Amino acid sequence: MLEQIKQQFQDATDLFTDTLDNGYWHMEIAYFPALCDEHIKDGLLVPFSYRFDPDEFRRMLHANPKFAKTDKPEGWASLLLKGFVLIRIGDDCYSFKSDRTLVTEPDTTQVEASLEGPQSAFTESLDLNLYLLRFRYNVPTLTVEPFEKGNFSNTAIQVVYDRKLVNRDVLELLYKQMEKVDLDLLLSSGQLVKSLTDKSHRFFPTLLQTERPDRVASMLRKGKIAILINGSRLAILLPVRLYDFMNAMDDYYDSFWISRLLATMRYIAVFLTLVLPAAYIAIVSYNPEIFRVQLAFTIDGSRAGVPYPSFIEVFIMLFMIEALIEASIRLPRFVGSTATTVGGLILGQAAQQAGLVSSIMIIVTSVVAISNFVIPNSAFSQSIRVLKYLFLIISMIYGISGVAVLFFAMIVYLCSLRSFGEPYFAFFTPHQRDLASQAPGKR
Amino acid sequence: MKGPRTFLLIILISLLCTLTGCGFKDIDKRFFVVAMGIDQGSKINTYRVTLRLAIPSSKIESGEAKTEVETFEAPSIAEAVRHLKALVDKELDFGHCRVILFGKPLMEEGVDSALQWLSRRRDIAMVTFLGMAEPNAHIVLKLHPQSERYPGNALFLSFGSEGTESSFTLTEYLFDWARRQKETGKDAYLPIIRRDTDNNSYRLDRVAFLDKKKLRLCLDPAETQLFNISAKHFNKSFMGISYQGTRIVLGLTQVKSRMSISKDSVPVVNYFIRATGFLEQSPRNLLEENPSKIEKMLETELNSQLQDLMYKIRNAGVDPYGFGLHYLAQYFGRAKEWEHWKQVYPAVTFRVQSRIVIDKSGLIK
Amino acid sequence: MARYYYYHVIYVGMINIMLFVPWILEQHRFNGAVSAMVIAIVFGTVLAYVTTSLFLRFPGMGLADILNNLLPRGIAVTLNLIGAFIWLTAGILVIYAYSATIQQFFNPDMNPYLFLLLMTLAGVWGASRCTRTVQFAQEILLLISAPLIIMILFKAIFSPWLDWDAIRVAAGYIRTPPSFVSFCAATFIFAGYNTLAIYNRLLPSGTKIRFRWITPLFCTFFLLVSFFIPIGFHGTVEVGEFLYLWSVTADSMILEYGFVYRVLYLFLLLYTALSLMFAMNTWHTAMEFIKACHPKHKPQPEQFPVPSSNWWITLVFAGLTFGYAIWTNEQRNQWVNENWLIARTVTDVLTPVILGLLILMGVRKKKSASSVKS
Repeated sequence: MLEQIKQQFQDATDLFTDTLDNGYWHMEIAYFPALCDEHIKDGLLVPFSYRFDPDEFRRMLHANPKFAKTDKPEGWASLLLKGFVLIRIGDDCYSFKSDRTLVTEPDTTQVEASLEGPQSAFTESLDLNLYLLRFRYNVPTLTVEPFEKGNFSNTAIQVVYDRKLVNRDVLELLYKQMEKVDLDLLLSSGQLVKSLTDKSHRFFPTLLQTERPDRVASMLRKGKIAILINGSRLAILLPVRLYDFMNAMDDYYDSFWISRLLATMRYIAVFLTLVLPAAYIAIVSYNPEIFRVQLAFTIDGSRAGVPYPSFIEVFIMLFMIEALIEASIRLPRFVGSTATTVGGLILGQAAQQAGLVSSIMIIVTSVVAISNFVIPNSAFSQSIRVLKYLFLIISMIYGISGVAVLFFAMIVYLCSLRSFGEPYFAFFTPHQRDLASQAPGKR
Repeated sequence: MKGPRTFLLIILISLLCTLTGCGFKDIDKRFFVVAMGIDQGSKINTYRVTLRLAIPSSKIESGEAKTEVETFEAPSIAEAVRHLKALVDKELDFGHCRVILFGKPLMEEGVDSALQWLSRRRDIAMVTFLGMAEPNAHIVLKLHPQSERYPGNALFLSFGSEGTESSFTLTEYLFDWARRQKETGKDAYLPIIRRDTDNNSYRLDRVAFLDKKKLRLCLDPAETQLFNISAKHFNKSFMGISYQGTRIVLGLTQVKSRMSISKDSVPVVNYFIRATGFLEQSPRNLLEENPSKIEKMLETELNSQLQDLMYKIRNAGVDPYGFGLHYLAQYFGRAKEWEHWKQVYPAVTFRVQSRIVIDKSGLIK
Repeated sequence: MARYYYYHVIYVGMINIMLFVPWILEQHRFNGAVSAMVIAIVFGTVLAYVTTSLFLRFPGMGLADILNNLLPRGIAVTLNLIGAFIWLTAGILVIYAYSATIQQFFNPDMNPYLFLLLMTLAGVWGASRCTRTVQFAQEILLLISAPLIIMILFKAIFSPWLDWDAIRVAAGYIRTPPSFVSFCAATFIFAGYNTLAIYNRLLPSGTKIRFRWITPLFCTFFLLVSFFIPIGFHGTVEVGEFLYLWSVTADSMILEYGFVYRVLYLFLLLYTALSLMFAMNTWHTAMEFIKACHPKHKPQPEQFPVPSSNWWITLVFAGLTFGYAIWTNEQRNQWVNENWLIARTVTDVLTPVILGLLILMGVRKKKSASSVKS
């Protein structure tokens, strides 16, 4: 066995191979010390060495679930790479599971903070994630199917769903898509999302990534499917609808009217962040008569010193705010707040006083930025961020009517999206077994 | 594959950039017309158009608002406006023109072509306020009131009901005027706007009546208020009478009216009006004595005043109440009935029956 | 699922403004519009009831599928093409009318074809989606825009400037004999049920359309409003002089406490959604009719991504719209509008007649078959 392994790992000096001899038996052993943890001592070396009892050792090999018989040489390499110990006693080869897990405690939520909900988030360890999930969704019908993706990374993936509730058509579609996935390195859930998404679905996310086990649990209850990836602290949920992106977990925990109010506010915020800069251009440059007289004169007065057309002004301010957001994500936390202060307060104030932008534009920009942050899901908020520029361009050409037409086109686009055969944006369709089961082509 | 696509994108973007420009005009390159005045020109068949233009400023304070008044004479309104463009440095925008004033001399001649121009312009709102300026529109528009917070706002607020709500001020919109100019059995009215004597504010307390062609009658303030109450059901008005040497003032809170016209050979217009109100000013303990007596007195007073007003209006040959239209409506009349009405209108009699209810006496007894 | 049916009924009831229906009615207000409206209310209600009942007998089949299955090929293709033509024209007329309106009120300095381009592109984009997508988009857009439109209508009804005397005078002309054109125009308001020609494919078998009184109630409301409100605002005489009648009527109202002061702008923006919805629907239906002429066509209400044939057909529609815009002017457009409304009424009557005959034939066949057996 050792010869074969050494051939496969020719230059891997961190591979430990040896033939142990305790006076009774010979045992060939091979493992990566970096990938294995302390269990190897208690589980294998101690029983083999100074507490050796042939009967007990044989019994342990057969009865302990951590040991498995692995006679096929082609599986050895991948087992070693997963942190297994390979041993050979006599003619039989065994693998011993002793992979090192660094993470033993759940993370705290970072992106999807919640006020009153649980604070634990998924970690980068698959086992712990499964624990977090099973702990919240505690029924025997919860099914876990393992996959492995990535030609070079061999990342473990688990597809989790409730056997009783899941829509089989969606599941089949998922498997079909999974087969098509061809990645060299699967390092984060985002990559999987990308390769599971159709080419024509690129504007809005049709798979939801979340770090919250409670969200996954509540989605499983609705018959959706979760994908957990080893090494990624985000789970993928599918099929999803637009509302799932606009839904914060707190909506489940707050009282009815408050959550409704907040949800409505979020939709208004999305509308504002999309349309406001475009509307500014349209109002300032095409139809100043739309708004009330006072507003027109206020804008007119504050724009009096601005030397360039409205759309340049909008682009300058939006560039500034996007740069600011980007900077404060990348910068360390202490510097981040400084950057925001400098950019937001000082630059904005100075730009307005210098007559580079109008004061109304400053308000528009800040409303746009803040409204964008209201969206609970970052992937969705990014797509809204991009879409806003489309509205800007159309309003440069057509004014406010162009914005209305584009809004129509956007709604049609959203309605035409399908997340694994299920409608993405539609009112009151039954949650389950709706479309994928009816679509003739998808069967 | 990627090369041509990028190329196409670049071409598309550059195309888009050229597209902006049709109709694209920034707000600071526009001159907002806040009010427009149409007068008779110095020569026959010419018009003198006065525009009040807003000069915006970032400061909004009372009396800080600046406006510019431009005027030009031409054979038609359209030509005058076109020519006025040459007198200003920015594009004229009528989108916020909320007041249009006609000079009184023009009204005496007739304003048919003015209406044509106004209805044709898409950017002049049908909810523009109309008024008749005395002595002419130019003089009224030149006034610059102290209280103006942004350009033209004093003018808007005096006409509309957002600011002051005076029972002497009638509101007339362009669409209403245009319809009354054409409607069978209903004639137009226009509030009269003048400079106040202290030259610091506008004065809108009279109304002018027109038939289909020109000015026929102007009412004094008291009659204007009466017209406002009866025809427009204006709620926040008052009426006063003398009683035992003191003055009693009734503030009206609700006015309802109804008319019915008999189908005699000479029709009789029965006008029923019901007003509810409270005493704004009265001697003490008046209501305890006999409220119904005061109500009776007010009723007879209102009856006679209103009848006088209606006869006055009838004698002038105008019909701003819309008696004719109501006559047609009541009997589902058509052309024949309309001809009949036109003949007999100078002879119709009016019977006003009013009912006044005092439901509160103010805070004190 | 039957609720989708009512979305069509309601938005067709509201879109009539863009098809010059009120304009045609006002032209005939003194010679037969009111009496024609009364007849149209009865006629439209009966027709709506009969046609829907007939369609429900063919669950999951559009009109094109029914014709293809039960009639000889030549006749079916002809009928399908006629249907496609009628639907296509509706979309073209609305897109043209709306872009002309927008050009008037929003962008007077803009090249008219530029805005037409935007509208047709949006129409192509919407119409080339699959049937189910169109239905979803329909619902969402209608639920966004309809409440505001109805708010504007109620604002108009309760406006103190509305002259009820003028309305009463106009209503008095009910005694004149009805005019045919205004009858056709008025029945259009009830025509929402016609969209079942395609959307019946999406109704699962056993669907019952309940609350059918909604159709006469809402449509009568829309009919009366779109005829009488302009009269109330512009008087019996002047109302005949406006071409963009309802835009001017909307302009006669103000929102004292809103962001937007003139109701006109709110109204026009809302009608953008409605007009595009109408164009999307009609073109989609026309496209499906044309696709059904292909011998190997199979109806597929749910398709993703959509086949390229969808794109090509709708692009041809867009081209036709441009052709129409170049050819037409105000007089021609009105002429086409009137004739389209008449043609539409004829096909409207034809549809239930054909369906009824087919059902009768089916019943007879079954009977003869069963009698032979026994």
